[in-house]
Amino acid sequence: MPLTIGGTGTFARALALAAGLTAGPALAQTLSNNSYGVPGLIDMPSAQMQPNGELTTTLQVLSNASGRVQLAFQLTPRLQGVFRYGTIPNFLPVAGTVNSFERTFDRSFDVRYQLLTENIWRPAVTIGLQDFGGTSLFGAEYVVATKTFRDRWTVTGGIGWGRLGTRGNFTNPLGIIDSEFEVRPALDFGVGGDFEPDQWFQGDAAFFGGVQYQFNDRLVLKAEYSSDLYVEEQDQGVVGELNAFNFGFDYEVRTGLSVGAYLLGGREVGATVTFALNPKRPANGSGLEEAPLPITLRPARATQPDLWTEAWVGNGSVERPVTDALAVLLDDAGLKLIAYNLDGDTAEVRFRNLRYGSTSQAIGRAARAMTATMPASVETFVLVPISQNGLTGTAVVLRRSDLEALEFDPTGTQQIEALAGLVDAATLNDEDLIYRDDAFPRFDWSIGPYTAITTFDPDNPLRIDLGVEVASRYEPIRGLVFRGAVRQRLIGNRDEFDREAGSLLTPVRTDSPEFANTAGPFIPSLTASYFFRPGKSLYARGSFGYLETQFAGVSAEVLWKPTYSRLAIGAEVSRVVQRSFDMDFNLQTLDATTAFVSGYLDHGNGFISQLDVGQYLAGDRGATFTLTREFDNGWAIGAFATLTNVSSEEFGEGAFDRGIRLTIPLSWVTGRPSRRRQVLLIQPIQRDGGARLNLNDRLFPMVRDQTPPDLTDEWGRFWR
Amino acid sequence: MNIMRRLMGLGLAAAVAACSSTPNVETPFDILAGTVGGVVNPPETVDARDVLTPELIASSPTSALLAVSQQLDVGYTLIPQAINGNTVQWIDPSGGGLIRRDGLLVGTRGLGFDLFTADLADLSRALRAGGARDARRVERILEGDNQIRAFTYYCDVVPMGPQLLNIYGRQDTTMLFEERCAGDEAAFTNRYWLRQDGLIVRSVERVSAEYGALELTLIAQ
Repeated sequence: MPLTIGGTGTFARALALAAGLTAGPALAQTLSNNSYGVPGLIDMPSAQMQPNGELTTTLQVLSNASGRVQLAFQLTPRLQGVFRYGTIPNFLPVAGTVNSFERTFDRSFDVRYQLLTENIWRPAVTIGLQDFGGTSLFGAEYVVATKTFRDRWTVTGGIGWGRLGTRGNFTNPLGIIDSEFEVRPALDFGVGGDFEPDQWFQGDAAFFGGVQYQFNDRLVLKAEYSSDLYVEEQDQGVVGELNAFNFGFDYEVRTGLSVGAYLLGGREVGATVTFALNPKRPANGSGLEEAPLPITLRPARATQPDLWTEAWVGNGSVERPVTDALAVLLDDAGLKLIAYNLDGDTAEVRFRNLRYGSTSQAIGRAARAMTATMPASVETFVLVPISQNGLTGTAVVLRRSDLEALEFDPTGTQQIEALAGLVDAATLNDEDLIYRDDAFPRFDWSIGPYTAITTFDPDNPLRIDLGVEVASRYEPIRGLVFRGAVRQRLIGNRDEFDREAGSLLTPVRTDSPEFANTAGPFIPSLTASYFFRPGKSLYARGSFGYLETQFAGVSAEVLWKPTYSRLAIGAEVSRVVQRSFDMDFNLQTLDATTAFVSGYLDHGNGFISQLDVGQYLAGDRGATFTLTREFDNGWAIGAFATLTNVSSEEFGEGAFDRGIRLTIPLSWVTGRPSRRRQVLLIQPIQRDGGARLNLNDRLFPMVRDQTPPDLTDEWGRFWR
Repeated sequence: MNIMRRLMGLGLAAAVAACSSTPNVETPFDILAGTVGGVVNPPETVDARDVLTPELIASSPTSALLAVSQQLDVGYTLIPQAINGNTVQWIDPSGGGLIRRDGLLVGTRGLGFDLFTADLADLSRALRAGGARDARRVERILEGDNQIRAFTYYCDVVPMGPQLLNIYGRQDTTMLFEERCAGDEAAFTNRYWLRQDGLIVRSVERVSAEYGALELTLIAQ
């Protein structure tokens, strides 16, 4: 399946809510997009870039019933990436017929880089590749310059190749370098999806340009000379003859939402709707949650020395009410006290964070609760967050007097960060830990709706299943976790996917439609897992059962991540058998062994790369590279590509596995604290090559959350 | 399964959306249901200005502030929750709060676009001295990506003359000061009404560009 949204499916609702909530002043300076979803005129791009981190969705429709949906992300201030899903009616020859055509759906990617930023003397200059992999239906390359005058006028001029080099074209000036630039080779369509770098900047070129005028704060008027002749569309009779001039406008309905309309070549009418949001600017600022419990100050030792005594140590009649009170305050703060160790001047507290997306905020709130309950003699607080699966990460050591002194200090955040000690919790002595009676066994359950969404498949841009899910989780002892769920699909259309797979490989994923056909209750996963710390800097997981919707078996993983290291290395091996299509307890005969060595590197500034090398489900061997930009509030946008020893022909449609992964924290949408994050996987075509298991509890995301630099990057929330 | 049964099933699923074993932790459905419910059937909110009377204020066992959001035109009361040195944390009935140092607003919590911290030592000195030029104000905002960003302003603190305030029957002779600030990406004016004993009994102070200003009145001491 090309795209799957897992979990309990709140995304659509959450996003709808976000659309309503972003009507504040948080979003600003979003530039007017062109019909291809990037800053520009009507069809022509400009050299401008959206604000850093801006995520825009542009919907475009034309009066001939063609249209595009475009998701553009400003990866860095100068680098922008675009995913596009376009459709053109009566375009694709129907197999076995003559002069019979059907609607085509096409997925494509763009990348653009701003070579020069604009200043008072020079224009911005951007180089771009449009639809650079895939069918190249919209394939073009360009170099464009844009200059703003008097804040209202924006003038753009550029040179284009490919689609943008079809009107008023001339011999490629790059032919001066090499005459090969003068001929654009015929596109080797193949199975689609392959990069075609021998096409880029080849063949005839043409100039394009235009001007836009900022009429007022909301209205932008645009006019352009287009170098796109719509050759393919005219050949198929999808559009008539177009002149070179396009005119349109863009109107900002409210911040984050704009609509536009245009006249294309004097013949067709088009419309656009653009939604813009920025992960750095949530709808509710720093959040709507209640103020934290104040730091409780101790009486001065000089005036009340009796309260500073350590005589209470080992006295259950003191320790018990102290920890009971702590448990109550932690519970009020959405934290669960698991274990503690009280000494005369040191208190270690291990707790589970049930509420906050930010671990540092949970630590801050736990520290406040400790000041309210710990005897005055306790000067050192050791706070150990425990993951939902019982793993410890980094322990944070704080001096109580620092908390008392810095609570309201204007620079208290930086100071407490500098004063906090961070140590690997695996190095702490846990022999004297006292576990709370109610810590284990732990049983959680939930009943609620779920959604499963598949989008951008070759025949339909959107498929949704809605249903009900009963989920439960049982943890008899720390780290041993039994979890499972039962789902019943009630309504949806994901079962209507009937595209012939035609795979030449072991069908490890191309059977996905069979799984989506399940009408009765099904078990998405049912596992027993054990999570533990084998030693310092080491984390481990073993899982057994119905690991995901399509495979059951055993899986083991180990991760090495020192506390302060930006590098982590992991290894994972799994032996699995394909489950029955009904996703009940039965298994089929298809089996597989997968194994990977993974490297994770935090480059800083929010960029994380991951390299997985190993054997995939279909037995193919290769590597997956993932580059993710992550924001400190939990937003993440990553792109991945997998190359294995499977040829493009063997792989089938799409040529190789690739996709985009979006992670959206629910708290960003609602302004209320939550650990929930919704993951969207945009994967144009999921084939059998480069396929991995969809495991629920891989270690790295869990461990990252509890260790630096992730832990300290969001330290701003410590006092929140 | 026919479509009606399926839709009934969906309705049932929605009805049980909030069912889980951790009632103290809001699920996404709780949050969304609360938000949608708040839009469809907004809860009746009482504006503190509509119910406050001199008698009610006189019976208050503790200090109390009346806060009015100028942008939202909503009034609510706060009481002190904790004191740390010369800083007081005030709490409102919804759990949000204000932080004031020497009677000056140095932080808000729960408003969304909050003022995280403020360094107002210059302003405090200027008010005691009867005015000043270029008093430095440093505000810190916890931005949406959990990073703290500091904004620096330079402010002229100008005495505007005496004013007699009637605060729910209590007569206070005050001196009005304006704090005219300009600096990082903004210019704004705050106002403070000081009694002769130096107590700030009323102020209009900007929280953030997005939230606007709060009018704070010390209704009970």
